[in-house]
Amino acid sequence: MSEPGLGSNPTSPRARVRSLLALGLLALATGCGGGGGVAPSVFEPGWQSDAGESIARVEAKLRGAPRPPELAVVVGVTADGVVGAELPSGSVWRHAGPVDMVPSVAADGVVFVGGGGKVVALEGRSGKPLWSVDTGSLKLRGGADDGKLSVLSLGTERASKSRLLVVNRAGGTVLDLSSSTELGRPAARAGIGFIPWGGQYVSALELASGTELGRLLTRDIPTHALDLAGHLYFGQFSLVRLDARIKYAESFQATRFTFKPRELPGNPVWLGNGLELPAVDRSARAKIRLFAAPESAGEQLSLASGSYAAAYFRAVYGFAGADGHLVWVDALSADVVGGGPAASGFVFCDEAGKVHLFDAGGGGAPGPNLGQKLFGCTVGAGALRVAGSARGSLAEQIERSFSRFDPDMASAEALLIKELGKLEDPAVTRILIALSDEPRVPPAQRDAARRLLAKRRNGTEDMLAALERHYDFVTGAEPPPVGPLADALGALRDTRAAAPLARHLNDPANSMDDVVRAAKALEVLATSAELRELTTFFALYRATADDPALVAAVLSVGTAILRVGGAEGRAVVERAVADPLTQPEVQRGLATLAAPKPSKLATPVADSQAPAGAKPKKP
Amino acid sequence: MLVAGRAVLTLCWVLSGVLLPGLAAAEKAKPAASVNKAELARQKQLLETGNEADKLAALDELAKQTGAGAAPAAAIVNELLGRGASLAVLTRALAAAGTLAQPASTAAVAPYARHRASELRVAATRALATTGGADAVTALRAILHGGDRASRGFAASGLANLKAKEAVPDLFAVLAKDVPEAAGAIGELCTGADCGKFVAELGRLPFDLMQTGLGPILLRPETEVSEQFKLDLLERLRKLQTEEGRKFLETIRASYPEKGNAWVKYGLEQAVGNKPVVPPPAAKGKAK
Repeated sequence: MSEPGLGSNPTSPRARVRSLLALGLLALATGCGGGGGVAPSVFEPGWQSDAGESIARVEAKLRGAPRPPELAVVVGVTADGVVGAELPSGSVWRHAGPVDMVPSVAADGVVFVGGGGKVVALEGRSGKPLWSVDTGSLKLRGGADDGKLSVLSLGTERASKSRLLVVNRAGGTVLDLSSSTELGRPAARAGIGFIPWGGQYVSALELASGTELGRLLTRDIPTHALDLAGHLYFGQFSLVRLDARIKYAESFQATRFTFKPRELPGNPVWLGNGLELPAVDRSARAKIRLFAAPESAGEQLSLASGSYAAAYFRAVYGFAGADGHLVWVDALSADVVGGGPAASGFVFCDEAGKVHLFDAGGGGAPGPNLGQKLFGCTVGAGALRVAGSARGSLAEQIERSFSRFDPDMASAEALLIKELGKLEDPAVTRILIALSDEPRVPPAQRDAARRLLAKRRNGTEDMLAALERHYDFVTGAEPPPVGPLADALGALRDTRAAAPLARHLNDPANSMDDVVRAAKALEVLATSAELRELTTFFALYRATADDPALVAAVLSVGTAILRVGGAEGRAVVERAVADPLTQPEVQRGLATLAAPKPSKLATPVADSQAPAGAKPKKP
Repeated sequence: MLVAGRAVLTLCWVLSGVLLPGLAAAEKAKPAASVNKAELARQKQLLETGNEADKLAALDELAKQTGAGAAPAAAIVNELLGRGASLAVLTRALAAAGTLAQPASTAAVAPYARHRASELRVAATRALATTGGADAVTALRAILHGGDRASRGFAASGLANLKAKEAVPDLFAVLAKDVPEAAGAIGELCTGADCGKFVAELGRLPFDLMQTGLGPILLRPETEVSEQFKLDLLERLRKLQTEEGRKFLETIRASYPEKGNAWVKYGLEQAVGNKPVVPPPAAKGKAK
């Protein structure tokens, strides 16, 4: 373990003195108070920092402490109660009763359901009720369980008043503490509860007595205490782990976990404010989610699965923790209403009641079907390792997702199109071609697909096949994205594109932009076999070009004719230069093109790439 | 309203084509004028080197050529079309090619049916309806698949004009896609099962669209559409019991040739009088 920084070096004489003082005070308090805690009163901010000594003692005490086996559970909120199952493939159970908050799932699988002035604890594997307690007007903010005792954090919607209840398996209240400040979501381990509060504290309470055994002061805004894969973490935007370094949390030298997600559709937040009541949210916000979890590897913390996942209505996707690139994607058959990270992989539930499991690489695994419409869902899967089956390449996953998206999924589509452009997979070209003229895709995303298509340098067979398509009023066929295909094939110097591009020149169903780009590509690609199409276009427009784009296209075609048409082609161009009816700008451009060159030019390809009318390069 | 208007115009056009088939033949039967080669050479020179006014005037002169002069005049127009010109000159050149009606012009005219300027597309399509030849039929069928609504209408009529029976499948394909002219063309071109397929659309497609094709079917010679088919059609129209159906029957009766088929005339009278059109089988062909 490395030493903390100088300013707060815990081994410095000043810190040692402070630590000894704290220990002395603790001993005094314990001796005088007959089992009193680190502060005169729990959840009171008037407390002098003990430089992490008390929370360090708690951490030391818990090392090797027994904990119940972990159980992964999914719980959904239905119209008349909750429905749940053990993950990954347990039997579905139901519990009828009022539910006003999203249920809370403890690491050992105990499910806490709040509603109607009560909190009911259920066994996560079977849904069997364990106990029920009255909570009056207070509602469930979160619950935890150490295998024997359960901790409930209760609160109200518009007041900071909170209450902490500790309940034994018989349903008896072991501890009932009121607080004038908001308490966060708790965790519990071996008779000790961890309660975040006050925006900077986590109190470690002896559950049987309510004695505050330790208090963590951290600037990581602890509103959540999490029990994940055997480790305890505290925080909201970032997490600190309860380990030997926890005493340095005050100076940001505890073992910290933080990740910065990329910008995502709908701007989902990760854990959210744990002080807020988790009301069942039926708005669209509840369908825009972000899931990530830390993974402990010795002294280091990393992102579990190496990735984080997000949901945007029915789109679910995973991103690499390192650089945020898209790792996998899927489109579910219904909108996501909840989910959570697993130790490896992710779990989502959709509003149709289906639970979807994905492994770290996005491989799919079957999950239980809860069989009812869900209004919310909680997943406790901190120790679950999902093993899924491959779902094809990322390009294929994106293609499949597009086919299932609704037209209002523009933000997700924009993200996926951008990610498509980063893939080298030749299949991407075919997908971009399809997206370019897919009417269900919003225009801005179609344009984005066209821009990316123009930059493709593989998938040429798909490009050539697409160019064979023309607009057809009878069949409803739309023209292909001729312009982007022309750009790409021109850059690739693929002369097989010359004939189909020349045919598209003379198809009025193509946009002007497409025609201009096809003409530009033909400057490079045309061969003598395309002379007829070229001269037809030239005849049709050299005197009727009525906008600058068409003028540019005619000049490009003139360039191609001069290059591949021999003496006959040159005569065509020169006649046009001489004809007073030739459009003036075309006439000027052609005159420049047809003028005798002062010296030998560069290679035809290089020359033909120059803008129409440009002067030849100096040798 | 627009479709109905176009349908009525199409009906009038179709009926005039059916009833006045001799006009075109009479035009072609004019005695061949002698070819003034010098004059043609002068017009050719103007088209190559003249200004826009010169070219327009030259095209007007060339379009007047008939008989033996038509082919060389058309060749000169074709050269101009191959070189290209201004919008005004090209429009006039396409009209001239249509007037001269030479199959050799089809290759020069056809590309203009795919020009980006709508007026040139329409002018070319109309010209193809008279230049004719297998390539014209191919081009007109392709235009039916194109994106220009006006051109599709003229292409349908043009195919009827060229008696392009092979285009009937294409015409059916566009019939249900708001190309009213296709109905008239199908009525002009259909045989046997195709006529039955067309009549089966009665009740499914708007009547004002259907009538542009039903008229020609009733007025075509019995060698092309049988007497029995026409009588069945008349009975079906009578049974519609609609005002528009009755008016249509009256229009056909009024325009039916005096020397036309007696049983069809009888059927028209019956249908207009709202009486069953059921002549005894034995009587068929005997009512003279």
